[in-house]
Amino acid sequence: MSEKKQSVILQTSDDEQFTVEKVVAERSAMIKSMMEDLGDQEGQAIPLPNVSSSVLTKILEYCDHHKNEPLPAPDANDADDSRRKTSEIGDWDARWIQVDQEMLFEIILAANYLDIKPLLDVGCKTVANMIKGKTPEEIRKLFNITNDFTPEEEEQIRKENEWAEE
Amino acid sequence: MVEITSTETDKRGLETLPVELLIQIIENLPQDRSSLLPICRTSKLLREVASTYLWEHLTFNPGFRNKKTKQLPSILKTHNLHPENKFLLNSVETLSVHPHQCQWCNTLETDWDIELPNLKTLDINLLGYNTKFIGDPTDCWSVGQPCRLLRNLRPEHIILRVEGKGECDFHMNKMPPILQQMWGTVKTITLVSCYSNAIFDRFSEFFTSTIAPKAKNLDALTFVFDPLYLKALTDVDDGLDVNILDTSVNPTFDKYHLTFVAKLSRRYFKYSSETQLYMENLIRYAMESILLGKGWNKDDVKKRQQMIEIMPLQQWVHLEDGWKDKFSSTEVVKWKAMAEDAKRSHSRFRLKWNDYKNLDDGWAHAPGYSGGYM
Repeated sequence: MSEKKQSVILQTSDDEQFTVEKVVAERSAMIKSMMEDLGDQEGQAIPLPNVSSSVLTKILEYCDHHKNEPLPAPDANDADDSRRKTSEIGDWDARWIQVDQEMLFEIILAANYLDIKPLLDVGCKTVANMIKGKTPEEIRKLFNITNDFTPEEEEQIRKENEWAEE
Repeated sequence: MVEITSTETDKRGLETLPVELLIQIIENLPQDRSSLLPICRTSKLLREVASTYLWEHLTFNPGFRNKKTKQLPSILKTHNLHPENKFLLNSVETLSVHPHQCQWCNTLETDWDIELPNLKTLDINLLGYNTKFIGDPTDCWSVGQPCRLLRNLRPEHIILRVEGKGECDFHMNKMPPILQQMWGTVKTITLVSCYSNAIFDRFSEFFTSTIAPKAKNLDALTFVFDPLYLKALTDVDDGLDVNILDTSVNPTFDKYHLTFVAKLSRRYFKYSSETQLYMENLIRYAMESILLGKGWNKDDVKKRQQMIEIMPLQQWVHLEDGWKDKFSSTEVVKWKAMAEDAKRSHSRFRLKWNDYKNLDDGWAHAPGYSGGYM
């Protein structure tokens, strides 16, 4: 085929433009449906006001790596329990998502906004793995969370959940 | 264009994520107490999001003999609940009481009969009805005292666990009458036990006299032969086929879909499809002769046979319909490990299919069979 690669222009919140292969951009169900809406209007940039260029660069790496995989079914049930199934994070994904926390949460937010389900899944699993096996104090420290319980509330919560202690 | 006035000082942190994403993160944690409890104690926001997951599977271990008795959660002690706590009770989908004992339930310092509106599954260990452990259990319920923990519960699924060889009775007068009131809403019953004749006999008797007349919505019974119980017992794996056959042709169970889940290892079963097939054929063949002998016609026999499933534990643990919403993920993980373990270590018990398939009256020669039906 002599046809040149089909591409699409994405514009980030900080006004940078990215020219991206369609097959890569299609990983995002949101961009895919926008491309379909735009039809043949060549050169029209798709605005992504919720995604910064640094986050988009990172995410495009992911999309490029996975561009040849089948897309998840468009109507994959949102409320499905399959998400609870503990499928492991792939090796490449695990290495790719080794980023600082701020970037990790930006990726999760962007994956949600762009509707890239497998990526959202990788992000959420990564955070879940960070939480797993930690005490409340360790979780607070790791994520810089303030303990906003009063001592009375802490005692009440301890009582209310006493049944769950091993 | 919308004007974006970003406050760059706000760093992204876990708690800045929208609740829907926090929920997704929590759903990716193992759904067990040791993973969910710490997150509930971290902060108000995380407690609000994670508590419903923690409370989905509520467990009480009243303990008996010298074991320390745990207190009822304080929020269950009064019907005058703080609205914030009401949603916790609404979260409960499975209640496990291990073991259930009316002595404990009736000493609960509570001013109401507990209601769990979204309860799907009640999972009770019957060890608490065993006279050997707690004296005469009829003391507390024969006088008509209601069990305050269970009497207002209307589960769809009931799991009954018998840990011993059957000393623990299903005998009518040992089962609290209050339990008998809830059979009406029950759709499935799962009996988790080892396989011993005593348990089957008693369960059948109890089922006929107590459950069947009241359980109008019941359509499926599952018998899970739990390898964790088996481990402590040495001589109960003989005659599994006889037990299954017994139960399959028991007129009490005629109307119900029956599933038998066993580790299928040891002498004549293991995890090859051919031995499972052998087991199934054996039972089907035997059923056919028995039921035809009782005057059933062939079509009815076929229909009946189609309502009976025999399944290796390993297959069952991967079949979510079997345990989803009923058993805790922790327990299924244990079973999965046992099943995998059995798969590795039991090849020496391989059944010689050829030994059996040519026999004219195959099933009567099955190892362990000693009874007569005709």
